[in-house]
Amino acid sequence: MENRKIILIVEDEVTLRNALRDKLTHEGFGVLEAKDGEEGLEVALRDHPDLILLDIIMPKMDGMTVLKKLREDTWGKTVKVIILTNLSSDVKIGEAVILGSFEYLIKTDWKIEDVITKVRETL
Amino acid sequence: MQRAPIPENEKERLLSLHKLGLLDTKPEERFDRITRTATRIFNVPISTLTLVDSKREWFKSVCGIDQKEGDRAISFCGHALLANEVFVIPDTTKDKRFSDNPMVTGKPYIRFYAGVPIINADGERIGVFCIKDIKPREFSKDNEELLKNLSAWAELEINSRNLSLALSEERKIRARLETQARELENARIAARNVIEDLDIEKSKVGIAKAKDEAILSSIGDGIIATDSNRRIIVMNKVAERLLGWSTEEAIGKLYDDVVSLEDEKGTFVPPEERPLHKAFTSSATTTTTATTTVLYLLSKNKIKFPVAITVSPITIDNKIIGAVEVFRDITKEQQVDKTKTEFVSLASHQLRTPLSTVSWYAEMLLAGDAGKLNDAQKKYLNEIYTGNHRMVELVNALLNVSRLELGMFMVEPEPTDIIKLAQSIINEQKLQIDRKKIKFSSSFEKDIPIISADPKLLDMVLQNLLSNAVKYTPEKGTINLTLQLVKRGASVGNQKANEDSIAIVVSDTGFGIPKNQQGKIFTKLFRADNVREKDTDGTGLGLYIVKAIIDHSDGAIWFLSPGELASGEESGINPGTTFYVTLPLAGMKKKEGTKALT
Repeated sequence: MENRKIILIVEDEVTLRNALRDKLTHEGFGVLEAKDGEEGLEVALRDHPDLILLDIIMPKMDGMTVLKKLREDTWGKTVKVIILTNLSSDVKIGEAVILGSFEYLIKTDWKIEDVITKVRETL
Repeated sequence: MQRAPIPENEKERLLSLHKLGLLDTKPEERFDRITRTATRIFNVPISTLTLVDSKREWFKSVCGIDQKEGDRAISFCGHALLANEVFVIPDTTKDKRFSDNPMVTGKPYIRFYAGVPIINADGERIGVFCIKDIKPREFSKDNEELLKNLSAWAELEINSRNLSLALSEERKIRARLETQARELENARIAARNVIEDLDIEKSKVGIAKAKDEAILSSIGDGIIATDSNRRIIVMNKVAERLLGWSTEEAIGKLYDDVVSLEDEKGTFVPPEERPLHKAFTSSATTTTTATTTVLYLLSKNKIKFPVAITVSPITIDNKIIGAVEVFRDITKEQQVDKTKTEFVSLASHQLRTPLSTVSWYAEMLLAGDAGKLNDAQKKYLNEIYTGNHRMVELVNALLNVSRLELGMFMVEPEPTDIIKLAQSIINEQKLQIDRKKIKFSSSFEKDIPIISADPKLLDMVLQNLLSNAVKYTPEKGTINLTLQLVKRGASVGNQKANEDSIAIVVSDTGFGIPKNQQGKIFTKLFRADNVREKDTDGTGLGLYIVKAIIDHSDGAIWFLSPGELASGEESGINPGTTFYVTLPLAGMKKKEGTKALT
C-alpha cells in the first residue's frame, strides 16, 4: 500500500492516544505515536508523516511550541496539522490559526468518527 | 415799719427749704401737738410753726388763728428768722419796727411776739417757731428756754422727717443698687453659665471630632480625601502605610504628586484617566476591582502592588467640594483569583479527558470496531454514550458559569449578522424539530442591521432559547422565532425598550412555566417542577448563562407564560411560553477576559 497515509498522534493521554490509534488503524491509516511534545517533534522531523494530530497541553513541550518549531523547519512549514484539544477557550486558538494549523477540534465536542472525517478532508 | 430783712444766702436757703418738701403740705399732728402745747404752756392765743418762703410766710402748723399764710414783708417771723436765738417783742406798740405793722394796728392786733429760728439739717434758717399774744407780756429767761426747747422739738420733727425721707430715699437707692447688683450678679452667673456650656459643648464637639478622626484613621482600607483642587485634606493610617507618605507630609499636596498609579504593563496612568479625576468630571462613583482593569499603586519607596479603588465625589448642596478615595491592597485577592482561574483551566482539561475517552470508546464499540454487538449491548452502550454526552454538556455549562461568575469570560464584539446566526442555530435544531414533528416558523424583519456583538455569546443565547423551546414543547407543537427592531419607547412583550434595540422573540406551545416558579427561572441550577417530571435531561444552567450574557450586554430578557393550565395535559392544550430578549443596537461592550465561553 504505497499510498497509505501516515498519521502522527501527539497526545499525552494514553487512552485517547490508543483510541485514535485503533480507529485510524481500523480505517486503514498508518499510525505513528508520541507521548509528549518533545517526542512528537522528534518523530515528525524524522519520519515526515502526512498529517499530525496535535494535543496542546502536554508535558515537556506543549503543542503550540511543537507547532512553532515545525513551522521553522522546511518540511514542517507545510505539514498538515490538526489541533486536538480540550481547551476550546484558550487564547491559543488565534495563535494556532496564525501558525497555519488547518483544523482545530475540541475533543469532547467531536465524535471520533468526526475526527476521521476531518482527517480525510484535510488529506 | 421795718420790712423783714432778706438773708445774704437767700438763694441757697430757699433751695434747702423747698428740698424739705414741707411747703403746701397738709397739717400734721406731729407739728400741731407742738404749737398746741406752746399755747397751753405760755397761755397765749397763737402759736405757729412758720416756714419763710421767698414772698410769704407759710404755716406748717398754726394754732389759734384760721390763717394759712401771710405776707413775708410784714411778718414777725421774717425778722425772727435772722435772730441769734430767741427773738422777743414784749410790746409791739412800743417797738418802732412793728408799731405800725398792719397786724398790730389791725387784726389780729398782735402785741407780743416771741420766736426762735428753725435750722434744718443743711444748716439753713428755713423758718421760725413762735408764739403771739394780743396783750403785751414780759418774757423771762425761763420762758425763753422753754420756747427754745419747743422750737428744738419742732426743729427735730422737721429734720427727722427730712432725715427719714433721706433715709427712705437712701433705702430706695440702696434697694435699687442692690437690685442692680443682683441683676449684675445674675448676668454674670448667666454669662458664666453660657461660657461653661460653651466649654462643655466645645469639649463635646472636640470629643466627637476626636471620635470621628479615630474612626476615620482606624478604617481598614486606605482613605484619601481631596478638596476640589485635588489637594489632599484627609488621609488615614492605612493610606499612610500603603502610600509610604505620612499624613503631615501629604496634607496640602496635590493628589497626583502623592499617588502614583500604573497599569498592568507598568505604564504610568495619566492623571486624567485616574478614578479620582473621574469623580470630578463625571461626578459619579468609580470602582476598580480585581476583575476589571487592575491598577497598581507605586508607594513612595517604590513598592508596587495591585489596588482596588472606589472614588466618590464629596457633594454639599449639589456642589462638588472634593473627592474621597477608598483603596485597598488586592494582592491576595488577585492571587485567589489567579488560583480560581487556574482551577477552572485545570478542571476544564482534567474533566474533559476522561469524558472524551468514554465517548470515543463507546463510539468505537457501537461502530463495531471491536466486533459485532447484539441489540442489548448496543442499547446499553447507547445509554453510556448518552449519559456521557450529558456529562459533557454539564461540564461545559458549569465551566461557563464559573467563568461568568469569576468575571473571567471575555466579550469580543465584531460586526455580527444576527439573522445568519439565527439561521445556523435553526439548522442545528432542525433534526430535533423534525423528529418531534414540530411546526416551526421564523420571521426576520428586513432592516435588521449588522450589530457589534460577540457571535459566540449571541450564539449561546439563541441556541439556549431555541433548544429549550424544542425540548419543552411536546410533539406536533408550534415554535416561532422572530427577530424584529424595537424603537426606543416602543413596546414588545409588554415592556418598553429603553433604547433602539433588536428583539429576539421565541414562542412555543410547550409546557409553560408554573406561576409560582416563574420568579426563579433565571436562577442557577433551577429547573421547574413540570419539566423535571417530563424530561430529566437539562442542567438548569442555560437560562442562567443567557441572563448573565444579556445583562452584560445591557440588554433585557423576560418571558410571558400563563403558567400551567389547570387541565393542560388532559385537554392537550399547553400554555406555552414566549421568551423576549432585547439587545441594544449600540451593541455589546468589549470585555477583556482570560476565557471565552464554550
